[in-house]
Amino acid sequence: MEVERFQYDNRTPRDFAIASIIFGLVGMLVGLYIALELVFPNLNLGLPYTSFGRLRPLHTNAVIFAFVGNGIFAGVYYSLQRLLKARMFSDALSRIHFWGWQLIIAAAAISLPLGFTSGKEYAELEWPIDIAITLIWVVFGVNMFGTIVKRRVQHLYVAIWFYIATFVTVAVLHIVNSFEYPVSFLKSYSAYAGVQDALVQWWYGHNAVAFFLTTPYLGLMYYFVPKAAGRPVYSYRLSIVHFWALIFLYIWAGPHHLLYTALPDWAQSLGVVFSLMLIAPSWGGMINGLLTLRGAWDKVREDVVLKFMVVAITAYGMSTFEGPMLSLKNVNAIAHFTDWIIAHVHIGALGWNGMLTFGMLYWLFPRFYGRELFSKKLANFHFWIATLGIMFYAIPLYWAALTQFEMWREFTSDGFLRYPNFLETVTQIIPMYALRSLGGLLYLIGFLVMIYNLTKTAFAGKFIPNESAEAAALSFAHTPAHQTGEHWHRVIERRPFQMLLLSLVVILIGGMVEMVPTFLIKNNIPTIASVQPYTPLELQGRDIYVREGCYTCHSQMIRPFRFETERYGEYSKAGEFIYDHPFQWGSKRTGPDLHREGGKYPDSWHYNHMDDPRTMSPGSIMPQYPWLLDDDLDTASTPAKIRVMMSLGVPYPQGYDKIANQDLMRQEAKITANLKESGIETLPNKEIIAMIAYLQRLGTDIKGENKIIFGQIALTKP
Amino acid sequence: MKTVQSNARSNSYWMLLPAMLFFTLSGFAQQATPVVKPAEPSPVFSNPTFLILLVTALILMGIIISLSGTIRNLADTGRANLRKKGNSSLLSMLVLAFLLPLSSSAQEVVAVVASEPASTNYMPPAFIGGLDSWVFVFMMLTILVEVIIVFGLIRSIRQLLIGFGFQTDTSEEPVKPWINWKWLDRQLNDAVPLENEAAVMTDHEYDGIRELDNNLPPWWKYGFYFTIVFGIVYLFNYHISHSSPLQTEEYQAQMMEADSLKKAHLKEAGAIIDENNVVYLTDAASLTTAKEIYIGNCVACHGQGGEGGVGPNLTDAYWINGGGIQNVFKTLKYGVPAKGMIAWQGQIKPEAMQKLASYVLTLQGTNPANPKAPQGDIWTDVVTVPTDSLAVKTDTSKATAAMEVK
Repeated sequence: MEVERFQYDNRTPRDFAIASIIFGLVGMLVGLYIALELVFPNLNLGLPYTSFGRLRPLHTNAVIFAFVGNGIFAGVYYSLQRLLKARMFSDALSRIHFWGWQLIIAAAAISLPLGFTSGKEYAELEWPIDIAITLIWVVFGVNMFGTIVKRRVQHLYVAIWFYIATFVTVAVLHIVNSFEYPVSFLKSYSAYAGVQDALVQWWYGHNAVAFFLTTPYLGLMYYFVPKAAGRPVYSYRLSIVHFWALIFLYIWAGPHHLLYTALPDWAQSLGVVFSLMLIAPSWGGMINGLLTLRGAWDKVREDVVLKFMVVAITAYGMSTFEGPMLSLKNVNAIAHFTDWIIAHVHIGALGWNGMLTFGMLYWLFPRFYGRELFSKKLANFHFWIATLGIMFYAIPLYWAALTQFEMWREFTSDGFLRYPNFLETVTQIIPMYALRSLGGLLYLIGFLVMIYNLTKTAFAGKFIPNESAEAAALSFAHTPAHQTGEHWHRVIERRPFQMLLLSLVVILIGGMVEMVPTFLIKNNIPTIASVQPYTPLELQGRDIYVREGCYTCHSQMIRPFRFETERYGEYSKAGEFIYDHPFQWGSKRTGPDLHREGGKYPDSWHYNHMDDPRTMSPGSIMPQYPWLLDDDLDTASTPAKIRVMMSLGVPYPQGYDKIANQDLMRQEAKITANLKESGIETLPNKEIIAMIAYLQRLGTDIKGENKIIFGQIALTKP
Repeated sequence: MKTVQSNARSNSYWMLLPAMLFFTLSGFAQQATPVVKPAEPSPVFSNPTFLILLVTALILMGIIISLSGTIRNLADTGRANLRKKGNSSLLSMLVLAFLLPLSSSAQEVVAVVASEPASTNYMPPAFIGGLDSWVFVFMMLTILVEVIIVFGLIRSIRQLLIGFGFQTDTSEEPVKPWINWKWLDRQLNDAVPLENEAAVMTDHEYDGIRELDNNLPPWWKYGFYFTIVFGIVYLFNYHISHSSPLQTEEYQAQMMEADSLKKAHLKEAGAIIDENNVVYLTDAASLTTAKEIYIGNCVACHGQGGEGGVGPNLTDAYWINGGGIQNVFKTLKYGVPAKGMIAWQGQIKPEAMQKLASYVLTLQGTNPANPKAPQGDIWTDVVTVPTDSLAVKTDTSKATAAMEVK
């Protein structure tokens, strides 16, 4: 057979690796900053752009899509070429992919602090950026499949199965979850509402963890661990079983983020059982990784790359065991809304994704630059301080979660909540927040040491942009139909497009079974006659609520527990959210639940509280929102917003968009007058007025006292 | 500590940076904590749990210092290249050097936090051995770090000894391990032994990566089957046989249980105080508690001395919603949301509300600085002087209403 000479493209993976480092630094710095904001609430310096609610999405997006995302592409572009014995399909597409992805990140880094957000966790980016992501993702897919087509290796290695599943599933998730109706260039409403929006969002959110943070990294593990250890992969059969089981089962597990909520019971139960079934397929990856090191453990002691990878795989095993446990309803009751989840995801992010990325970078840089790593000692130091950092991060938060939950649910013998003031349960755990920041700081220090080490390595060596390689051409004419004695799975490994299709089918099943009935069968979301659409002012207020990222600290979902209904009021019903585009149930209660906030406090309380929360609740860690008191409400957008809502099925009367602002102004005047009675002088057209209107409406419809006649709002005094 | 500093290379000093940073931060924390009461002497040092933890940490610290001393001595007698090893462990000692003083600065912060009454009428939650949980966690983490360092030092010493020929390197020799890993590997994982690997080697090769085809580990396989069976049983249980309660049923059961508990408690404790039977309290203990509640919850709107602010003046004779203990209690309990008064019944217990209402009434006529102009109507109590003591006893509510509140 003829041997062909070709060159691997090292520039693209190198650039992605550098981008991963830069954005990793940004993401972690922002993370540390917002962690400290929980200890020192004035740390945002009174600016909207640096407030917790706006920076938290930046932190999550930067770490997931920029740090880990670029890490994925670095590893995929490096390993794919070598596993297929072929240069990437198109250098131009590689460049477009690289710069396109960085532009998307830059757009996110600018738009999120400015408050342009769709208000859906881990999918906050607005619709133009969503479209850009879709296009760049297609570029990635074309480039990957182009390379696969011109490969010189007949069968696809398990790492590539994972890359393919990642590509197809992320595409499906992103597109389905991003159905949104644009209002303007940087504002849109989710096409789904309430319970349905929640189901789609957490189907997406959970599988972003599965197919962005897990499957591609398992692929990377399957390449870098055997390479670094010089050992064969432990079990081919295990690879097959755990790969297909993992991608099939993962997609069902989303509803475990919605246990004890208004999601129908049957969907919750599916989420529970499929999460439990996920332990084995997840651990299959861990076992195959760790047992690959059989006979190489002496190497692990010496080789820092392997050390990082072993901790990464162990962290993966820990969090994929913890995850299914958290899906049990009684455990979930504790963890949901507390810092347990924050600790859990950081075991995953810092342990699994972070440590594997570091191991990979320490492996890649010497090869990119053709010299030894600058300092093994510093790399070892990085390893230890990062490991310590994870412990200092996670343990205090586990503790904080259990403490806070115990305080939430404790009753006195005469039937009162022992800690009726939510704030008490927060101030109790602030020292834990401080300790957690220390953990983050340690991890960040390790990261900085790595940057120094890799920079030194890079400057001491010479970059090898194109690496020569040779391999025999693959002759498709000789592709056998089915060789006797070969494993049946080998057939599909020769057929990348069939594999793509099969993966697609496998991952569609779970989502369809859960979503189709929730959308089509009416009794899944029982309607409540007294629930009406938001008034124009409330709608505007809600958009401010979304813009400020209030959902990052406040839930709007009262679970059916005595300790929640005593604290917040009647538990939340599915029918109450039918006009919520997007839903704002939240996933964390750093502050109290707000679903029944309406009427609980007077307008003046909210006014003063938003200006400076500590005047109304001494010791509160909520940031100040003085800009809401100063900034004018943008009423020009009202008609467009009403029209979009109407096209999404919200029953405003015909032609209401034209008169909506009259209603809005009357309601503004009413609230302003109300504030004046309490001694607060303000102009009616301020954002705070809309915010108060929204907060005072929250969760009140169920009482049946709100009789809103659109077109005649606030015409007469109640 | 001396050994640490004398040996620390200049390139190790940057390790102190995080320590300094944290000191600054904890300084901030002290400033940021609203100190309501003056800080009492730290209770931490008299706490047995803390003492045990501290002693453990200090003993470990001692072990670390003596071990690193050993390393230094070994290194001094040995070659220059061995000194390196000593220094690497000293580097980790520096980590510790900043951890320990930290924990004492932490105590100060705790002392401040602990002395702050959260909302006074509730006991702060007791945690690990009466220790604030975060101090406990912090000490445990410190000890953990120390243990890791001790193990690291022991390892370095062994290597040094081997280097000098004081001890033979046993790592090459087959030692009988505590756990028979090979046996476990065979039994648990059903793995083909390393030496027979060729038997399960496939012909796959990708960029030098080969693949074995070991059996699925039995514990993994049966674990997987178990979760599938569990899943089926779970669904059957909740949705077909309905033998476990769904969330709303669970909730109803919870509420019913709470109801019967409450009733049982009522039987024991007598009636709950409400606006009909509330009486004016004048004892000093009640009023002191009430003052703390007032400071924790009311000053934001009504001012430190009741002079008013967002909310009305509480010291004048004018009342918007009626004066007298019953009306004040009622206003506290249900609030006047339309006018800006919060309903406190979810947050303050009836007895505490009674004390608070009493305290508010004691503010009458105190003439604080910057009083807010009167609002509402002047409240004149119908002073019905009880004719005899019996009347007071039988009709407490009337007596309360008659109480002079000026």
